[in-house]
Amino acid sequence: MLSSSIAATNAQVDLKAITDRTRDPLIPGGAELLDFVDAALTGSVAATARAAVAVALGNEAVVDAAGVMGNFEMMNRIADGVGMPVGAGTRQRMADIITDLELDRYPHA
Amino acid sequence: MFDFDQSEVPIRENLADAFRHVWGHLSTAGTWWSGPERVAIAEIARAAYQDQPIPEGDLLPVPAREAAALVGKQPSAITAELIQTWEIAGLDATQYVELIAVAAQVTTVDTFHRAMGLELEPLPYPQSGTPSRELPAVPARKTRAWVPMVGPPTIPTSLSAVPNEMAALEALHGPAYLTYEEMSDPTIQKGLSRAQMELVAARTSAINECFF
Repeated sequence: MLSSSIAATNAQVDLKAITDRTRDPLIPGGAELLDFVDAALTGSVAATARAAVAVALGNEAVVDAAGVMGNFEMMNRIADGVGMPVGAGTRQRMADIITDLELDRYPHA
Repeated sequence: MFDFDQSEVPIRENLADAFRHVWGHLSTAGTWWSGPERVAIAEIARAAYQDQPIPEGDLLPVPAREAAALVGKQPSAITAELIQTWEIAGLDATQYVELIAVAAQVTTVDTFHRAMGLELEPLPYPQSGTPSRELPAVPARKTRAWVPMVGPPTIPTSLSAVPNEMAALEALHGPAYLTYEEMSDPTIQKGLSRAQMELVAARTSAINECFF
């Protein structure tokens, strides 16, 4: 999904920043958004990260980001819980991303 | 319920409505579990997520308690073998699908609250009623996924063995992220651009060690 939105909008994003937090994702507010996800999902206090997103992108962005996190916490549980297979077409389409982000190390890949 | 008075920033009313809908849905008899059983599943998933002791109780059979805890805490650790073990111990595959849905929905609501720095909403009071035992119009079959589905296994068909939970998933998915229709637009812009939304989604999946 991220790669198709990048292609459709000509946005510049370093996908490796998703798994390598030393890298800058390049997208506007991207570093702040990643910090927000990390703080919210790893049990840290998210207030500072939340405030940084609000400054960089506005209050509406904070709410949307929290909603997206919640939604993908749900979708991840469903996908892993039902044993959703990764199809050959998906593997082929995402080959570069799978390699770059080392997605094959995940238990259900 | 879900009035968000404590929030530092305004929260969209469609999100509050969606969360109220989830709470009503959780507390009511589902397809295979009663209202009290569904709330017990949510309670276990919530406790497990927070590394808190799993609440005592004999409302749910042991395999359901184990499954609810694992879906809540570490879904990437679930395996086909484990599901088979639960099934042998009496947890039917469609009961398990509904359990996943309940645990996953409460996690969505709780994660939003944690991210926004809000106190978790108390779980709803369970309603009386009998599970509907409704089957999908077209029989669900187990193919390449670990549970039965109607049609080929895809994210939109993941819960299709329990139609009521498919509908609940869609009702939450739209306000929290994008509707299925909106998802086909890679340029859609809300409070975040589509690329920003997907960055958040991808990082969430990476933390959960989930491929999708």
